[in-house]
Amino acid sequence: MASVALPTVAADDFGTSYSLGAEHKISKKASVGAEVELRTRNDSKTLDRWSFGADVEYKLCKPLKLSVGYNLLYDNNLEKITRADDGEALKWRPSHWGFRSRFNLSLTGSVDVGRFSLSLRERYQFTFRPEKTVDRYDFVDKEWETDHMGSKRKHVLRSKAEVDYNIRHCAFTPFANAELFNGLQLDKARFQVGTSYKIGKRHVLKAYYQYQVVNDDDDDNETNSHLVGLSYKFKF
Amino acid sequence: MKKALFIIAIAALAAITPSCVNDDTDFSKVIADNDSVTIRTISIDDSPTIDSAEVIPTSESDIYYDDYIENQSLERVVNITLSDADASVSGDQSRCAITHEGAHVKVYITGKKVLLKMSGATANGSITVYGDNKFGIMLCGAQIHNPHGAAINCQNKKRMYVVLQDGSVNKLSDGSSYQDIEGEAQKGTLFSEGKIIISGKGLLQVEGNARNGIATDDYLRIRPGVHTSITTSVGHGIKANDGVMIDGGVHNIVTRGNGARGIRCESLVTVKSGRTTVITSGASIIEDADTTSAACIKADGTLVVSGGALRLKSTGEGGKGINVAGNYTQTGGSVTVVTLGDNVLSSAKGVKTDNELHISGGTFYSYSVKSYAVDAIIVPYKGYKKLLKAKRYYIVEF
Repeated sequence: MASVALPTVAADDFGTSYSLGAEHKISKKASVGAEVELRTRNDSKTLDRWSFGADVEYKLCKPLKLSVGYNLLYDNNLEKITRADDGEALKWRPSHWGFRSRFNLSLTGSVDVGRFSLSLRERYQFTFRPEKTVDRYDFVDKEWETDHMGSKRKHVLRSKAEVDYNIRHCAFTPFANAELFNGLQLDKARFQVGTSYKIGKRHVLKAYYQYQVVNDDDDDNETNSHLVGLSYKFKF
Repeated sequence: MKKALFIIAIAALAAITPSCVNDDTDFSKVIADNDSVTIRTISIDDSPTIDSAEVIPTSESDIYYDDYIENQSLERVVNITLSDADASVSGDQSRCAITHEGAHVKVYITGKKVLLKMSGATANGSITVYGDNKFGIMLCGAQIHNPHGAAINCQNKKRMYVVLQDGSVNKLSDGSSYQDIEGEAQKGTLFSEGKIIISGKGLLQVEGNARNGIATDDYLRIRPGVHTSITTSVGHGIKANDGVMIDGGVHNIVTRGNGARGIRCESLVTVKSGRTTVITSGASIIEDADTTSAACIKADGTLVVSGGALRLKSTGEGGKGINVAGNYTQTGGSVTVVTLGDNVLSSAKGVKTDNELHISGGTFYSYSVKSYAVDAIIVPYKGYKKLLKAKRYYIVEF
C-alpha cells in the first residue's frame, strides 16, 4: 500500500453562510420564525450543510426574551482517516451526508446604553444524530467495509455576548459578538463582526465575518475557520 | 428591495456553483492500486525454460567440487535392464557385485568410478545400492515401480549422481505401503542416505504413494537442464536433511497429504535458476500436540532465492507458501506465492519466517486469501520500483 503521510497542522479553512428567514409577530410579546441556511467549507468549494429551522420567541419582560427552536441539519460530514503511529493510513471513511436534529432553548437579556445595545444570550442546545451505516475503506484488508455509526447525543451550552451600535439616521447597525460553546469542556468559540441593514420595516440584511476557534479535542472533526455570512430576513 | 434580494441570490449562487468539489483526501490511486492486485494463477508448467549459465568448480578445494559429475571419471559402466520379472546385467562389474531377485536388484559398490545405466520397465522392481564409494546412476528411460518400497534405495552414504539421459523419460513410483528391512531406511521413492545430485536433460517423474517423493539424509542438488515431476499422496515432495539446492531446470512438485510439504529441508534451501512450481493441497494436522501445516517450502534454515522462478501455491487449510525458521533472502528471480486455504488449525500465510525477510532484487508477490501475505521481520529495502503491501498481499519489484 502506498503510504500517505500525516498532514501538517491543518490550515484555517474558509467558508460562507447564506440564510433566508422570515419572522412573524403573532402578538406584542410573541413571534415565530423560520430560516433556511446553507454553509460551505474547504475555501467555499464544498457544500458543508443545509439547515432548516423554526423557532418561537416570547418576551418575558422588557429585557428578557425566551425562545425555543428546532433545526433539521443535513450535514456533509467530514472524512475521517485512522492512521497508524507512523502516519500510514489504516482506514478511511469518506465524507458523507447525514441528518441531525437540533433543539434549543434560549434566554436573552438585553440592555441599551446610549446608542449601544448590549445583550447576553444563554442557549441550551441538544443535538441528536441517528445511527447510520456508511462505507469505510480498510487499507490493511484492501477492501471497502461497512462502518456502523451509532447514534450520538450532544448537549451544549452556548453563551453569546453581543454589542450593537445604533448609528443615528443610518440604516446600518454594526455589531460584534463572541460566543462560547461548552460541552463537557470548551468545545469552540466564535467571534463575529458585521452589520445589519434595514430596508423599511420588513426587510433586514445582514453581513458578517466570523472566526471560529476549535478546541483540539472537538469530536466533530471541525477546524479553525474564517467565514463570511450573508442573511436576509423578512418580517411581517 | 428587489435589487438587494437579487444581489443576495447572485452571491449565493456564485458560492454554490463552485461548491461541488469534494474535500476528501485523494486516495484514489492507493485504492486503484489495491484493486489492481489480483490473485495470480499458478499451475503445473512443463514448458522449457532457459537456465542461467552454470559455473562448474574446477578446484578440488571447492567444497562443492565433487557435486559435479564432470569432475568425476565414472568409467566403470554397468548396464542394468529391468523387465517385469527379471533384470539383465552387463558391462564392467569389476568394482561392484550385483544380485537380483526378479527385477529387484542389489548393487554392492566395492570400488570407485562406477556408473549404473538403468533402462527397461518393471511394475515390481527396484534397485538398492550399498557401498562406501560415490557412484552414478544414469536413467535411460527407466520405469521402475516398487509396490513395497523405494524404487531407488541408496544405502550408500556417499554421493549418488543421478543422471538423466538426454531426452529420456524416466518414472519412479512406489506402492501404498512399504515392507521395511531392519536397519535400512526407505524414506521415499527415490531415497539416499547420502547426497543426491541430479543432472542431465531428461525427465524424471517421481510418484510417492506412501512416503516422500525424493528423500535424502544429506543434501539434494538439482542442476540446470533437469526436468522433474514429483507427486506425493502422503509425504513430502522433496525431503532433505542438509540442504536443497536448485541450480536450474523445470520442476513441478505436487503434494496432497495433510501436513505435507513440497520441499521439506532441515537446513538451507537455495534457488538459483530454472522454474520450480510447488502446489500443495493438504490441510493442517495435529501431531504430538503440535500443529503441522502444509507448505510449499518448509525449511529449518534459510531460504535464498537468487534467480529463476519460484511459483508456490497452497490450497489446504492452514497451508503456507513459504515457512522458514531462518531468514528469507531474495536477491533476484521471480517469486510468486498464493495461499487459498482457511485458517482453522493454522493460518494460511503466504510467507512466514521466524526471522527476517530481505528482498534486494527480483520480483516478489505473495497473496493470501485468508491470512497474512507476509509474516516476518521485514528488513527495509531500497531502490524498488514498486511496492504494494496490505495484509493479504505483498508485492515488491526491483
